[in-house]
Amino acid sequence: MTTIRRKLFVLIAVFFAVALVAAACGDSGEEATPEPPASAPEPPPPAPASTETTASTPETTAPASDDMSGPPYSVEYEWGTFKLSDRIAGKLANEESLNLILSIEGTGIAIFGAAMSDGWQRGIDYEAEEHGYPLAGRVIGPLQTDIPAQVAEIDSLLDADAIDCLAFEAHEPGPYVDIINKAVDSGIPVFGVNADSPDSKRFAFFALDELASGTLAGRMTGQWALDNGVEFEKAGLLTGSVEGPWAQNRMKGFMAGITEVLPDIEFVNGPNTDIESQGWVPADQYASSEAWIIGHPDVDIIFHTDQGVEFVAQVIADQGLHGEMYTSGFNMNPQIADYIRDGIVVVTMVQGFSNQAYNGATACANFLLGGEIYSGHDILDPLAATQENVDSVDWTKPENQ
Amino acid sequence: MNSVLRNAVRNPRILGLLSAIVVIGVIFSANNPSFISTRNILGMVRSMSSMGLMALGLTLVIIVGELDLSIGSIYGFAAMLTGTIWVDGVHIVPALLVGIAAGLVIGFLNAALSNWVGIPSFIVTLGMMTVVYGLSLLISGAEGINPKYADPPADPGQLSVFRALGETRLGWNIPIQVIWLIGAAIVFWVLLHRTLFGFRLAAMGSNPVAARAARLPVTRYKFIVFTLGGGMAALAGMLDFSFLGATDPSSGQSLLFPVFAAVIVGGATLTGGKATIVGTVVGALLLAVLNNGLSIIGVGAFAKEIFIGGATIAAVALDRFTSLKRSKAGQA
Repeated sequence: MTTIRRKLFVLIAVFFAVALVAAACGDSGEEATPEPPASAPEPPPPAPASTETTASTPETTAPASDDMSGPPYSVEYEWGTFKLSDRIAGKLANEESLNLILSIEGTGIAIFGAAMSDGWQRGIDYEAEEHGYPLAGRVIGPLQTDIPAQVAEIDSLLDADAIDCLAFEAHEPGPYVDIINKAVDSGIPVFGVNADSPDSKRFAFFALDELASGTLAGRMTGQWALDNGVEFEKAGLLTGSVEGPWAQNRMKGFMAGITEVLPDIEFVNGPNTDIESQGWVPADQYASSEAWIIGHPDVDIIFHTDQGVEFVAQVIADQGLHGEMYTSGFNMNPQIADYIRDGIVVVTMVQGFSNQAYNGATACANFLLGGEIYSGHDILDPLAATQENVDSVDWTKPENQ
Repeated sequence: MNSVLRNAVRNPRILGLLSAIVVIGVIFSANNPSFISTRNILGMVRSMSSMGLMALGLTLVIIVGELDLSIGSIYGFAAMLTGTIWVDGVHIVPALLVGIAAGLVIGFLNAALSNWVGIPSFIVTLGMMTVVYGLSLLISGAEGINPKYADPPADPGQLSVFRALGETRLGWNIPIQVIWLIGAAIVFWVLLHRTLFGFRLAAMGSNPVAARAARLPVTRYKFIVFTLGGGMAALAGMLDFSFLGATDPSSGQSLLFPVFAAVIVGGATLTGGKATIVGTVVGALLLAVLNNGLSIIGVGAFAKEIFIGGATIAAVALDRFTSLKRSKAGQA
């Protein structure tokens, strides 16, 4: 029996060795695997967003089309020539309804999924009316983050000729390159929203600049302390997803921003040191925030990279630390709005998920129907919600998230 | 109660776990004295209560030789269902009862599919986990619920009654969730260790064939434990909903592993027949101490996962090692 087990073990070991060698020697595809970008892919999590994002007008300068009077059947980009597929050109000629598809990492991620769907539909409805052309669309994706499932779904729809324009949200940049390039190569326009895959052939990308948003949050927090005579000597960082480049950039930005205003402020942890990932489960976020706050009673201001700011504020209130400890963060909901009114949350950056999706739908429609060419990263500014403006928006509405 | 403590101290597994908790506690306290503060200990015990409640229900399922992977989804669904019908106008009391009933019904369905259709409980509850999660998403529209900010907002009187279930602080600032856990643990301890029902459960798990040959009501008992397990998960979800004042459809999805870990670390075997309520509670406490202490000292991003996973594997390895040693000693 022992011999059989040993043989089995050897066989398994050999199998894995062969698999590893095969993988190492195998063809990894035409395109080299792209490096993850230094800047911000976007959050997996459930998070609210904003309405009042000041969307910049999409760039319409860089590439050139050979027919700007109608649909851009052929456009020159840095990576080469995009040629609209004959199938879609045929649909346009016959005024057939177009399928605009947005693929996101998690349709079931609370707030995020609903807000993206809201924005996508709003964009389609608006453009359909604007152009007087029948547009159909939907948001696809797995319930929760599952990159292979998301990519496979796009692939199936591409094979079924069921996509006339694609927008995507990429949990990580690399895994989406091939499928985006497949779509573009087959003549389908592709846009990124919220989280990018910059090494792909996507035309343009609509999202925040995470670093700049974090910096703004830091600067505003520091300025608020100065204006109100509150001493911030020690600061701490918390996050739902420490591994996310978006979270890293928000934290780095916050540190830089607050240090500009309060140069002597000391951070008890950093984006890569002594920081834990709290995840997105409310009960877990509360428990770990509670433990961290009890363990760091000398911290004056806590920056949370996402909607966990709600639970930091809740712990501050529950522990009777109101007026001694403050927090700033990202995202918004009615409860966070109340904590802003109470003076526990100094500032929260409202991302505007719905607005990001809206911009993606608009780009699809304007490209196909209006001949507008888009390229590059269109930065959508967040709304910085503070006591000054918290009552100016109805935070229960999906279009505000 | 004395006998509980006496048995616990005699049980080398529980003694080992308690020693580990003390050692870990000393290490955390040395690193950050806030760990040992009353405030932190109360917060820590409160945060383990929902995991503990679910683990109690799962202990009965495991001792009878079955598995229930749907408890995390039931936790989220029960809270979401209660919240949804409450903001739709149903009074909070019937809404709570509907939420608990949903947990019981899902547990019953698990038992029915497993016993009447003959599908292994692993498969049934794996499927049910997904079905129930899907239902949570369906009824919520993939959005969280905070009844205070619903349109229209929940009645303030009902809201305060609901929040009191999980948020109340008793004398010495003891969170009411801790009382829920202690109360449930006592009931389950009596049920498992002081009744014929508990004795039979262990017998069924130890030797299902003999249990059937002895005409023990195996099917009926399995229905009871699955239903109870569903009910406990629903109760836990409801109490966390009450404490936080909000819930979302993904709530509970990450609880499955810690709950299983608590039961296994506490000495249960997945093959059935062996588990104790004190062991489960102490297992949950160990995980809570690790979770809380690692958060306090801010040791790093993935430390919690590594420690909790490692503790679970170590507990099972230790169990295997001691039972091998015992059986060798028996043979000698």
